[in-house]
Amino acid sequence: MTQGVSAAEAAPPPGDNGWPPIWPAIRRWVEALDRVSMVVIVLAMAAMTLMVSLQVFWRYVLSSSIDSADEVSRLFFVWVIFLAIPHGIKYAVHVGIDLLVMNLSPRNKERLFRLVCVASAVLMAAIFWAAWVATLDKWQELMPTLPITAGIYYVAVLICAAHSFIHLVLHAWLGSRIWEGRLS
Amino acid sequence: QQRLRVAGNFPADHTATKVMEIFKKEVEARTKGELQVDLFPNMQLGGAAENVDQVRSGTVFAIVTSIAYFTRIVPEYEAVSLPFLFSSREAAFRVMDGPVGKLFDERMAQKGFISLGYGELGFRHVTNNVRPITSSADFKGLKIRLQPNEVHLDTFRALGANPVAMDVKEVYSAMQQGVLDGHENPYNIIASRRFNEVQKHLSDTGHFYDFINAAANKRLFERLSKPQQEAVMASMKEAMTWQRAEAAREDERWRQQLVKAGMTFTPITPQGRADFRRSTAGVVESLKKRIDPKLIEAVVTEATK
Amino acid sequence: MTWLVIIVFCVLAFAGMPLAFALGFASLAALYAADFELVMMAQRMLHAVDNFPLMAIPLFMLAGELMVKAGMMERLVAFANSLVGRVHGGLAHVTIIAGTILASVSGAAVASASALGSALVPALRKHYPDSFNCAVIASAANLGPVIPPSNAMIVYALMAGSSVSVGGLFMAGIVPGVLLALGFIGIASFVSWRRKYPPTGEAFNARNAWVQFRKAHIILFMPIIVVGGIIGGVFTATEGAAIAVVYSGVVGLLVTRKLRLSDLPGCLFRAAVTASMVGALIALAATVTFLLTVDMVPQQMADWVKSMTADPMVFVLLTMLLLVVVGMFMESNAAYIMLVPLFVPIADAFGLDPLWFGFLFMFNLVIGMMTPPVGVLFFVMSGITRVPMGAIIRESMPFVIFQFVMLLLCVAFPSIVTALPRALGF
Ligand code: NA
Ligand code: NA
Repeated sequence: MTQGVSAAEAAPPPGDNGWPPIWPAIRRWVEALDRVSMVVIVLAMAAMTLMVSLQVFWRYVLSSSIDSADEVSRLFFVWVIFLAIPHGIKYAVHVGIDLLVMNLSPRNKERLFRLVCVASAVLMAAIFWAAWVATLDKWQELMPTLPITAGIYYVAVLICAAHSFIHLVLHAWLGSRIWEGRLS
Repeated sequence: QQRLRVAGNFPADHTATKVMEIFKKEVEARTKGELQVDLFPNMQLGGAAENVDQVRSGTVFAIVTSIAYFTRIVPEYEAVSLPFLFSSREAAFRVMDGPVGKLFDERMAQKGFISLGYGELGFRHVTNNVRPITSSADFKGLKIRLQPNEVHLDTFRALGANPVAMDVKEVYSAMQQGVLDGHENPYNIIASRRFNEVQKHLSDTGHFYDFINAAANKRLFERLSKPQQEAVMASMKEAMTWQRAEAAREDERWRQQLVKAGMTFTPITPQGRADFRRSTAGVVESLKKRIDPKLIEAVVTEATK
Repeated sequence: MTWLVIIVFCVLAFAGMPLAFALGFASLAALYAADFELVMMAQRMLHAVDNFPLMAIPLFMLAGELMVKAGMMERLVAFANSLVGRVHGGLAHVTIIAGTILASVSGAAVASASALGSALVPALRKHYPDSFNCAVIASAANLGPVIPPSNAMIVYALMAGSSVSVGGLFMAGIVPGVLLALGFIGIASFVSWRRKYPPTGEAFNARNAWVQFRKAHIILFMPIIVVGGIIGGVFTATEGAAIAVVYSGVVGLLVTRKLRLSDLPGCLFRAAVTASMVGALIALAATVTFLLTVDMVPQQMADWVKSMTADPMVFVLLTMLLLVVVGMFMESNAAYIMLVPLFVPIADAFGLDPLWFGFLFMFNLVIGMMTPPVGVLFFVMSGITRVPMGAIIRESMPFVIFQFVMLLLCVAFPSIVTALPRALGF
């Protein structure tokens, strides 16, 4: 999250050595989850690029066309974007207005950060429910040129909400410092 | 008093948008204001695919759109999109208003929709930038953008064209730059999307006949009282009756407007059309593998009666 | 309901909630208050993102990642520097010219900003402060929808119905676009001179320039291939973004040989996560847009403007004023979809030139991508560089003010906009 404060000024985390004893176990699980999601994102991103480029090659060089190129590349795109949103939370990519927050004391800043995470988690829970209903509703419909349910577009939103929820709850519980890594 | 939201994806001056306006006036008059209709034409609530999702889940009461957005919900609709199936719009509506239409209504109901009726989107015609089209030989190698629909793609493959599936948002620039040679649409869509600005040749191929349809959420519809349900049905029937007549009247005007805007119009001769029919005769066979052949036969019989 | 949305959004946004989530939470509150079904939220989010032209965003970001990893940008900047190393703000000029070239390929400012940002920031960072770099890149990227091809113009013409031609609108953008680019170069020079930014390279020397050109020519081919491919009808602008990825990948792996296969997953992942920031914003802004439409806010705005005046010029100025406010708070595509069908009939009734009005309408909302609080280009740049929004906004102000001056000039002297398209017969 954007207002993630630097390690030095953050409120001291709970527990003896900083974190509650259960944190390492949770961390292992969440990291495994993140890795699976990352692999899917990388594959979907590569497939999307490949699909769009192949369509150009097919059309221009082979004078033919891949019937499902449009919908399949959009499907990969949707999966890339929604699956990457939770990683954006982890790596503090989603931007916000920090004008007022900057003037708070580190302790209050951290408190506000956790509060904002709780609100964001509530939002994600609501989106999860919405995406669940939407997925069920859509399941009977097929993709335009493939015999696959069109519900899988909504599955990306579903995963996004659930995965984001986990990260936001962890932030709300343990503060802004749990992931030290940066994206670049 | 109860409010019903109706969404649509056609431009403000399209007859399909006027359908929504007539529907609103009629429903409000017939129910003496018990039902109030809020209209959201022109993609105000998102594109057609999103509107279909909204109706299915009941966020929106009904939509007016093209049946293209229902062919993956009710695949039987593909039977009326066969190439060169209808020789006239009268034949097309004879099918939709007859027993086949009843069957579509049942299928729609199974998927949670109440079909409120059909109107005319129009015969679809090919435009391109390479050469005037008179016979199927002229299709050879043309890159033609088509809707993502297997019957449509098969048809143009059979004609010897090179059908391309492409998002409609890309089509204007793609034709301007030459990524595509052409596309196909009813006259009024060619004009309202301004595709004539980037296309030279127009022929009245009329290879498919396309319908607009109105569909409501079944759950919301059944929650209305019996008289209200009847008012909704009758209002849409009246609106669609007007639309069919008006669209037929307008069709020639749209064609003339395209010609006036600079497109070269090449009419298809009866021999040319017979040639197209021969070339695309096999399309029906591959459709029979996907949907009930009996239904297809019923459609064909009814259409050529 | 509209007020509820605005108040909840402002409170959360100023509490530091990411703007995308603040938009989402505000519409959640409004949904609850207005007794809407929650499922609509997921539908809006999906369909807002499920949009083929948006694919250019992660693709251009990926191309940028690959160009950086492949060491291509270093060579390009070294070459540019050998030409304008002694000019005040020389590298900023390079950025703006690159933005102009890119604008003739890309139809969208967000994609241009991602491409320029990920490709040029690492090099620019060595010479100028990042906040200045962000302002220059955002301005250069904003040429994207003004200079054709332009997704914004296509959407505008589509929503305006039969009175506006896309081709005419495209032509209308050329003169103002070039004037904007020249103005940006002037501002960048002035700022660099005032702040005494050190020159970025040696004095011009033909031999050195030739050496640098030899190293950089493979990179200079990229816009030629992408532009050429689009103009020559090989691929669409969105597909061009994928071709840019393939080209930079091939050059990195086979020509500069600095890119390794093991770099690829990291590049793909980073491009995706950076793009997800824009994606989240587009997805959640769509939920708000829907509610405002249902609440008939656009209708009321149009009615309000219409009730204010019978003078066409006053109507134009009021519309411009209203669009400045709309541009501050709204994603521009949403604004076209909601407002164009309402305003164009009024403009027609006043007898205004449809191309002129259309360009002004579109240009105003394009500037809105650089006005706070919701300035999509600021989000993109902040996402790439981690510079706080406040600093980027401050540095961008001269460029934004210049764009508004340009808008006023186009209002005052319509021929800046209409002369070229009229001469070409539109
Ligand atoms: Na452009
Ligand atoms: Na803005």
